[in-house]
Amino acid sequence: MEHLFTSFEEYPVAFIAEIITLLPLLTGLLFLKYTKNENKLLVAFFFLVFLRDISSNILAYSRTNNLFIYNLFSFIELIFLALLFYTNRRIASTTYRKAIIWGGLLAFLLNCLFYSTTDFSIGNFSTVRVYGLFLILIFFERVLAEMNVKNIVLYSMFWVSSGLLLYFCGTFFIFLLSDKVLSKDARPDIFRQYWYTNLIFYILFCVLASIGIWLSRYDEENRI
Amino acid sequence: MSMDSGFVIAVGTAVLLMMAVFIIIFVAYYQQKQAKQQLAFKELQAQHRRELMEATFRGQEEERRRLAEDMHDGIGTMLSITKMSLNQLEKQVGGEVQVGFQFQKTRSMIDETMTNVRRISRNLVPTTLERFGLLAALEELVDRATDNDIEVELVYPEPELGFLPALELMLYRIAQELLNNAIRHARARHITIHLIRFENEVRLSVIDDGVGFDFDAVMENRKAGLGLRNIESRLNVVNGHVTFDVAPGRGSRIHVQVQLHDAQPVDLLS
Repeated sequence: MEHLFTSFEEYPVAFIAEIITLLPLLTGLLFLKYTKNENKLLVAFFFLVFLRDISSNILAYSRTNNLFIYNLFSFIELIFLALLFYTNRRIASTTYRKAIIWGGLLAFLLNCLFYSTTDFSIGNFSTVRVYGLFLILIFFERVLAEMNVKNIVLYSMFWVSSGLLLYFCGTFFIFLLSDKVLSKDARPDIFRQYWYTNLIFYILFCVLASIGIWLSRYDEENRI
Repeated sequence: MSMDSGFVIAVGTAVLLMMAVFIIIFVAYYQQKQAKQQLAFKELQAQHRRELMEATFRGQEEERRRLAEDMHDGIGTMLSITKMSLNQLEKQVGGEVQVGFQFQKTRSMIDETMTNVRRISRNLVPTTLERFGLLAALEELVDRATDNDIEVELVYPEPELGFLPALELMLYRIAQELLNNAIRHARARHITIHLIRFENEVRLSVIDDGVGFDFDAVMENRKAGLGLRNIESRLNVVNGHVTFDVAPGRGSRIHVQVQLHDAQPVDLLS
């Protein structure tokens, strides 16, 4: 059991980040009958994140390189992002939907090109973030243009998108320069500093996503 | 790591985060502001629509009243005079059997026309409703509709309803329309009208054993669904609801529900 999670004494932030994944997961499972399709997708995503963390911990304890898991996971992140926004009813326009698909395919292709098994792949993480930011901006533009939500503060996807936006913006430059700050050649204190920053933004995303999942029960009555 | 990388990450992240926070706040603020305006606009549109409906129904009732008065005072009076003249003429012409039979036939045709004029006039403006209230008017409606083939029943637990005259007229018109539909279109043999007043609500149900109808098909047909749309429009004015529990091949159950604190229809009777 102790090999499944990071040690709290050694890496408290990493431990919290792994445990906090359970927050949106449990919120989603607890309110599953109220949870809408797009948020069910989010719950499934956090379940996969949880599996990723456990499997990377197991590999770390056996002194095996686990970075390929994170690089591979960027493909799942891409698919998740594309599905999350493609299935969203606020983005009904065919042009936007086509943009999501073509952008997703392009990002997927770039991810394949940048994929690496030995170190954090700058290309993979940056592509996911650029694609994610593109989708979030499309979503916000659509919400403002279509005006079919009564109160956006009670709208689930607003919280999820805000969480993603903060997470991607907060970690964009870290991963863009990950060859210097997150590579195996980086100094341990520097690595820890930037890795923890990444995890703090991830924790923020989990909290906001949980609020979004919890609020999804009001989505129907929140429509204009 | 050089100092430059740390600086680039710090500055870049700070700029991106500030932009992200600005976007989130802007979207939340702007959307709420726009949504409030849109809701207010929609409320205004709904209010305008209700007022238009009120005016339409008021005009309709006024036109019915004018028509009923014209029929009663104009045609009714002319028919009475015609009958009197006919009686005079009969006396002057004398007593040939064949001519007497023709006079008798013409007189009964005039009587029948007078009865029809009175009936149409009464249907146009329900005088019983104005004089004795909704229950008496519905009793009269039920009595008129009942014959050897059709049995119509009115069920009301309370003899005193105490509705505003305009609401009574609206409920009467709806009951009239639904009863008419049940007899004419659904070919019902047994029809029950329930009228129940709760503390803040009134429910009117018309239940029949007729052949039913396809609600969607009727509503899609602009001519056929006129009566049902009319009911919905009348209820819109008072924020009322109508539920159609109908299907082809079985009896229909149509329930009308009006919240009494919302029901402030304009006085259509004035």
